Amino acid sequence: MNESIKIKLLSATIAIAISTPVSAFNIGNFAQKLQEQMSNIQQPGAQAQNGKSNSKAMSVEKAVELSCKTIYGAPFKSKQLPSSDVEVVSQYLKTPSNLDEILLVDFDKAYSGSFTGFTSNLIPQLDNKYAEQLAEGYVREPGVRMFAQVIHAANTADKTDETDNDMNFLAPSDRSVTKTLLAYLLLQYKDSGVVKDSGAAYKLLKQNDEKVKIAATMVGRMHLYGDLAEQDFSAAFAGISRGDGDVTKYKLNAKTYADVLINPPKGTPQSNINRLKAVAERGKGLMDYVNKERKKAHGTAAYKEAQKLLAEGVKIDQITAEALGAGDKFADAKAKASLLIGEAKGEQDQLKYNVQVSEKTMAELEGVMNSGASMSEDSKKKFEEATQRRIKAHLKLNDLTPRIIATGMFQGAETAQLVNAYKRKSCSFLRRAKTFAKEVALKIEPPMSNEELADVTSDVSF
Amino acid sequence: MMINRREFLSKSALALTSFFLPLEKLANAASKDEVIWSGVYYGVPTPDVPRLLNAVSQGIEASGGLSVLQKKCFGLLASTYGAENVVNGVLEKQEVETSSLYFMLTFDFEQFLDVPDIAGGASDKMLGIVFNSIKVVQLSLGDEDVRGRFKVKYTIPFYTKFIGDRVPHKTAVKNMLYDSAGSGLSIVDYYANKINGLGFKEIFCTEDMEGCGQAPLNFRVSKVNIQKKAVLALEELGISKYLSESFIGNSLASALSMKTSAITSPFGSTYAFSSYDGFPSIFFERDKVAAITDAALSAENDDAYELEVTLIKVIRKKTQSSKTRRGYKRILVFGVKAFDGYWDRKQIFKAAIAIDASGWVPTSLIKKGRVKELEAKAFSELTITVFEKLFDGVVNLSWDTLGSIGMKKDKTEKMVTDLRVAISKSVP
Repeated sequence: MNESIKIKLLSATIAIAISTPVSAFNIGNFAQKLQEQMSNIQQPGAQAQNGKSNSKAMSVEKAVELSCKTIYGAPFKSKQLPSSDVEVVSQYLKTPSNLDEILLVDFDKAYSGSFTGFTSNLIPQLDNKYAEQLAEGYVREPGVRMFAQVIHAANTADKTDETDNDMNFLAPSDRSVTKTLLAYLLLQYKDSGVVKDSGAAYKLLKQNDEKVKIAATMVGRMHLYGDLAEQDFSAAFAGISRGDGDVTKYKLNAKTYADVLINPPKGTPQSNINRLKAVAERGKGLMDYVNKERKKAHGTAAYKEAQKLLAEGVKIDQITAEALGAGDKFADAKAKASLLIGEAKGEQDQLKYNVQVSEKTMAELEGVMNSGASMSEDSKKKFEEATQRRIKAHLKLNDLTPRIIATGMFQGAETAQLVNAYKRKSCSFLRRAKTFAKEVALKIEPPMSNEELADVTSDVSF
Repeated sequence: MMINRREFLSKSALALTSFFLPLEKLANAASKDEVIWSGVYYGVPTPDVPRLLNAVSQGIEASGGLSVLQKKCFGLLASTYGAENVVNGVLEKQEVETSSLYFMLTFDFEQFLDVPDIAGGASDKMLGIVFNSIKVVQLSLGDEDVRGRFKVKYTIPFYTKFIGDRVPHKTAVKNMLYDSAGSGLSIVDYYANKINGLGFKEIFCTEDMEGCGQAPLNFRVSKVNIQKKAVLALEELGISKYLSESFIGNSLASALSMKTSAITSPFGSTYAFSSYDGFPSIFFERDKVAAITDAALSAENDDAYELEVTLIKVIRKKTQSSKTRRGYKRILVFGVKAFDGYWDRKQIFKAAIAIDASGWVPTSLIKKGRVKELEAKAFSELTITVFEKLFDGVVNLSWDTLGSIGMKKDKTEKMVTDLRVAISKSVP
């Protein structure tokens, strides 16, 4: 692999995504203000001419969105379904009245065995933008509505597989990958008592395991462990082999290799274990190389600027925490970061410390927002100001990324990774801040009119 | 020698003027057998008290015990009718010379819910409801030829709510007994208000007052049904034990009593306006009163009006959704029937009523499995509200109120009028 390709690959992994639609900001005064902030902040690098903004300058919201889209992809846009959500999900699920809650609550369930639970890590392994957007949508809102969207997509998405003959490359169709996603979701709810056919997930995976790598991996795991399909080592290793040995991209497959090498299921043939070991060793060699190049980026100007911006990030977190009435969360995050990093002796330690504090604070504050925190007018103002500063810092860091990368193939890798970690969290937080503002402005549905209630009572017998 | 009832009443300056007015102290009256404070009772068999009235029984103990409550209730009765006219405690048989009114307070049903704070607070909230009733019983001993009679003349069910931050249930009950309870009157205050406000005619009767002392007709909730679909919905929501027949029946009876002042038998209790001939001497043992009245009156009653209620639909549907909150609309549909007469039963009212309300549920609470309590609270409150609206609308002939629970004037006007007449006959 030549140097430029490597740089491009690394760049792609460092880019950050935010995937909230622009229209999410049009509800309520608080939400509107945040939207205005995003529209009015001068994007770094954009020049003002004659007191007016450069009309060609991209809006800040667009810039943030674009910066974040690289990894997460565009948000999934809900499709109009042919019937109600409940009717659509009834193809695969039973529909008790509390189904929505079951889907929400059990989405976090973890399992042991072949299927260990649906996590966000699985999403990039789908390796299909359409399915990834759909999966992101489901992660954001697990429940009947999004499950119906997944089923609808699995039934109707484009079914054309793409083949590049020169590269001998096969890209499975959106429908195939979406069916795989559906299978994984069905597995997630396997113990929830709502899946109509316990064999449906296996059937969906089996239909697609020759094209979709993560389908092959799961079929392999099912046969390896013998808990969700008949134990069959031949079928298991066929599936795992088909799943791809790329330990960076297809983590579930890599995990399967590790599972087998560390603690192989009873009866696993030694020849298969040896084969997997050889692949894993190749992965280890790559990691050694990365480690050798690690510290070359220290001392660059980009590094210094990153350090300054990440320190600013900590200040922003503090203001945001205060606005949300969660100053204690900020203090906790600082304490935890100190414990983790130890005494910050050098610049790199300080950088790590700041990123740790920010990551932890933002995670905690997302939790505060998730709990439905209410805000006074003063707090809203503070929150808006902090968000404005966060957007600016985010965009500056985004500009910084190519400069860090430009220091050399793996120079600055560690700094870039820290910046990447910060921005990833920042994207997630900004997205959450936007939806939070929207939620604060959301109004509950008004009571039914007398006429509507009369309709409800008109067709009953007792 | 004790003076008899008539002598007592003839000395009352209020005898002819205030049948329906709040009573003044009967300062000059001298009888001790006309107004008797007969005690506080649990409306369930004694062995079931720790299970069915756990919070109430513990709350009474925590607030000084039964004796404190007895004393307080007696004091209120004495302050209404004059201390010299009120006797504390059930008399020995030989001391009763004529008809007397025995006042009792009973605790019939309780429901306590610890509810998570949807505003994100760390502490739980609480909804406690205690259904109580005031009962006024009349006795006559009879003589060698005529057997004695025992008659429950007035039953006044009511509920008391506690809404606020979660506290131990017994602390909440203590508050509900004596303080404002955070919502309406305390139990003791409601009791005081009723004994002061009703003006029991019997106390003022004289020989020349025809029909005086005749109790008003009364209502009884005779049946609570929950239709199959509703049972399923309640099970799915995990709130079957909260929206139970007992809760619905007690809510309906209390709503009728509290909104219209109609005399109403508490649901599930067989206390009624019935006579019991030949009451045994055990009646005079204070702790057996409740059990005896309960057992004795179950076989025959001549309730004037009966109510039947059917829970038809329980709907909870998601209307809005975001990462942190789900907006739900909750709808309840009941069918209510009223019948005139026990022996010659005639349906005078039949209508379906509905109520809805929307609210947010944080997804964090859904993940913690705390939705059940929220739903139980929401549907419990809707149940009480829809019944209150029904009776409020009927007695005030308010079609705005009745319309707000899904009733249409053109279809139900005649029935509403008939029910209103029945209620008016049941108001003392």
